[in-house]
Amino acid sequence: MQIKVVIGTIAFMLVMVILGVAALFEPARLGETTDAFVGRQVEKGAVLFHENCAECHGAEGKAIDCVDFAGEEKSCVGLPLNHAPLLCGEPSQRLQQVGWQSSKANYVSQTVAAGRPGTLMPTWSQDFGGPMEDYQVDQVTAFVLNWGEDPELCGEEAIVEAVDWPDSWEDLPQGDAANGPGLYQINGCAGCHGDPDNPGSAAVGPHLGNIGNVAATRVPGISAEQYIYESILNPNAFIVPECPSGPCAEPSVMRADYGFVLSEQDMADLIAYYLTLTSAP
Amino acid sequence: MAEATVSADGLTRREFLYYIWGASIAVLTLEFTGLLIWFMLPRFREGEFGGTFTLGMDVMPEVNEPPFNFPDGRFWLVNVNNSIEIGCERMWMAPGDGDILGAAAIYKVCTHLGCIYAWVDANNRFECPCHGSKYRLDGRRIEAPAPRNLDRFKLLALDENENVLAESEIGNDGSYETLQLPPNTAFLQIDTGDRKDGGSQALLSNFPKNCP
Amino acid sequence: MATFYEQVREMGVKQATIAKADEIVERVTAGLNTNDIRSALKGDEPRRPNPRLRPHADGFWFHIRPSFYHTEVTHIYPTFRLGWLSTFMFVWETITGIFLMIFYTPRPGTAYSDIWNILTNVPLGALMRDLHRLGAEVMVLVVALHMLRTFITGSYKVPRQFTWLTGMLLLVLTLVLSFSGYLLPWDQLAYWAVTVAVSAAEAAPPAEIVGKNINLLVRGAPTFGPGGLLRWYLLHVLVLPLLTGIFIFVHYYKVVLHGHSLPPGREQIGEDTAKRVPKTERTYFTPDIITSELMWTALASLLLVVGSLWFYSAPLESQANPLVTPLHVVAPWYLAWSQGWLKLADKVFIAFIFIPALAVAFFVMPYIEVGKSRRYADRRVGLSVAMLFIAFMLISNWMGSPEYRVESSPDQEVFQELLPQEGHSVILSVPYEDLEIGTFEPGQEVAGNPALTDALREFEAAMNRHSCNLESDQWRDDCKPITGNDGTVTQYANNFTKDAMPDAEAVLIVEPEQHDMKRITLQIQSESPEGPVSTNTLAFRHLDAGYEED
Repeated sequence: MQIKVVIGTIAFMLVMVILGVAALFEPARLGETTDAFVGRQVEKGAVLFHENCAECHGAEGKAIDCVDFAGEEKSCVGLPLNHAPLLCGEPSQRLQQVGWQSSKANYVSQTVAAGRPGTLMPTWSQDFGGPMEDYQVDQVTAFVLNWGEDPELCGEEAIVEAVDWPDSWEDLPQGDAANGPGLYQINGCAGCHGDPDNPGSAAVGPHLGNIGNVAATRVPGISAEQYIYESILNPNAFIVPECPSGPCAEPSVMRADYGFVLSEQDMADLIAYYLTLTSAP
Repeated sequence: MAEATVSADGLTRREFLYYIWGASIAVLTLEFTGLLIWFMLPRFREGEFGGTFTLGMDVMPEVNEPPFNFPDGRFWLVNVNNSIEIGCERMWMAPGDGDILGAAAIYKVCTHLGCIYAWVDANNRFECPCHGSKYRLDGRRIEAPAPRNLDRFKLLALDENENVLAESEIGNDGSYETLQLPPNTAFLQIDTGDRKDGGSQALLSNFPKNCP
Repeated sequence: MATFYEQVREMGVKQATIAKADEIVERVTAGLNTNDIRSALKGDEPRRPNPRLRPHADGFWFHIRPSFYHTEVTHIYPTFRLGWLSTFMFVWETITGIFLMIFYTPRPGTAYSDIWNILTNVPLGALMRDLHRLGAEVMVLVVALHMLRTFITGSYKVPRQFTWLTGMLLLVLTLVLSFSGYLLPWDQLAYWAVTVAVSAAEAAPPAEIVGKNINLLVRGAPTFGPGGLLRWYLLHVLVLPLLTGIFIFVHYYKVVLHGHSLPPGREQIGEDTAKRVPKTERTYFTPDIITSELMWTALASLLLVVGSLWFYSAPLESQANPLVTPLHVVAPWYLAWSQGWLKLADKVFIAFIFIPALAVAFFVMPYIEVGKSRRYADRRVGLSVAMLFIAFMLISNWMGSPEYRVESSPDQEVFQELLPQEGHSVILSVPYEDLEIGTFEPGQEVAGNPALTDALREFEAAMNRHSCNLESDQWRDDCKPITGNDGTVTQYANNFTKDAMPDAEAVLIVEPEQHDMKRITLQIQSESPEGPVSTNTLAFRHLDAGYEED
């Protein structure tokens, strides 16, 4: 009988010690499990992204090298997501530009869930008729935001030195219009301005098929080249009255960060290219 | 059977072992209860009321300007200075004040019986609709039935890498004092899990306002 | 009794307090004062009249417990303490379950994230969950073993037939309790396992009237959703525990009423002497049985805690997706036998004829059995039938696993073994740093990287099992062609499977995806009768995901 008392005492004491040890390790374990959960959300978001989003936004989210389901190359109609102005800082540059009052995470998840009516960005959440459940929207959002954690994108070494843009287009190098179509595709212009050869294809911004003619007459006193130059660099410089889905938004929803991603040569090439687009509808 | 161990009242070894067992069960029960309470106490994440909220400096009002409303966190953000003339209709030097300078996060619940008071712009003060308690911009009570000044949450100033630069300290009245924000403050962090009751100073309605 | 004041006047404060404390102890224990307790702890003979019987006669908590047991049933044999352990597990599950209820809401949108919250934001939440889930599996096992023991010792015979019947009921309740709890995490594992098991309900004949409505009652909708989850939650936390508790009392009352059955060799054939216990063969409840039970409580708790902390981890797969069924959906092990049977026969037959018939047979067995003897030598037929039945159940359990008849194409099987959609993955368990960027072949040795090398070796073993050798001089089994009726080769077999990929080449590709996440691709290319065929599968591995512990 005594042995049972001893065994019982030892067993209870062991339970006590073991629980105590478990409690000591618990805060660290909670942290690890939280990280594991977030990591797994990003993993699942990656699967969803590649199945649904990469076709328009690119496999690396940079809006380049888009491929359709058959494996054929196509132009990337989505905006770049793996992109410092969208993901770096709270609020990031893009959030400030559109006047978003809530967090970066909410901006991304809301855009994924509700889409952008009037653009090619569809609604994804089942709440709005799309295919994804709430947790799937959260997973895609986690994946996109994870690009923003990359020190090479948002870290101190990653600050992109903006080109010191001259006031006049004439101070840019000589432009080569032949580079235009490639630059147009890579920089996501098609997403809002459509295909220059196809008049009805612009969804958000004005169609640019005739910009070569229109630019010269849009604003009196400003040359066509200068008009195009300023419009790319500062979308709020000249807001056109009519856009495909109604009056154009003020302030403009066009990206204001081309000054960070284009080189002077790129800009000159684009200007030269646009001047060649003269097919009046 | 067991030999009697040396003890005044004839404790046998067997009986003694039972008592040891009983003691171990008692200690285990205590430990288990403690762990259970730890298990059951709710924890709040960042962004949930009960946890911390991190806001950019752009929400900070100008000195002595009307407060910034943050409903999710159930607090007002105020920026006060009772020694200057600007905004003296909202914040002024009154007897018992001392120097009040800096920012505070004030709990939106009235200290009387728990209603949510409102900021009334026309009267430049907080007023509670339930029983008429009135408070100054920094939360000091103007009119009864407020039993004490408004309660405050702990406020921390963070730099752009979210390192803590400064945090609110507890004053003589037991409540958090206003926090003077260091120049390189990029973010404000309000810990809604850490709340201190407001102090009880004399009602401001006893004294004339000293706004010229 | 004199009032406290009067006692103080008589003997002074100190004596009066001691006397009062003693009085309270005697009231609380329903009959034992401090001296009685001490004498019990010391192991002395009780005074006469025996106060240790009074808690049983007059007290509430001890009323159902017998004041003594026959000494022969207090050892490990013949009971192995399994009945006691079953009750202990029920109490264990109730307590751990109640604590988990603090953090769980039975709603599809939040149930899954509540489980993650318990794991990530509740101190000792993971431990509590593991204790509950491990406890559930242990309880099913213990209850089944208790039933086996009772059968083997013939304890179900006259007059204890009703005890056996309530015990069978408790077994069914335990299984349904475990199964209803299985659904609550609302992950893929839970959702599909329960969907499969319940789907037979829809076919209850006549299907349009009875089956359809039974299905609606059970699932709250044509398929599982918010209604179903709430119904099963109510079953799990309220209805079933209540019924189980009630029947435990009925069952135990009957045990005490008839006296716990003695080991078969101890009684005359056909006699039941459990109730007439000579004084020399009694083990009294206080202090001996209490001491024993307390010790077993300590040991069982220790084992469950150690098991949950170091050996067991409750699984959690991805969130339930009613539109996607993962490969290799499997019932929990205690129900795998039913899944095995469902692969062989029509579900209406299994669910509404075969299983009910088995259950009825079990329930009424003591009433229709004829043999009076409980001795093992006289029960050879019964014991043999029992052993055969157990063997049959074990085989049925194996048949319920995906290895039996649920083979997909061989490349999908390889993918499932290495990079499954859900569950433990050989490749993902390789530590993140050891998943070097590059392209690797099965069986490749990676210098200085034992974890990856081991994974590649498993890759090679999987490829061996599912592919064969047509022409090249690789080390795999030769392909054995299987021809169709017209003489053309339809597929190839190797020594392991009837469907093997001929001359299959496979690679594992690890590429960077994001700064802290890698993309893993498994690619298999083989020759098919129609020409070369290539398939691949894809997974992502984040730095923090923690698969090494799974």
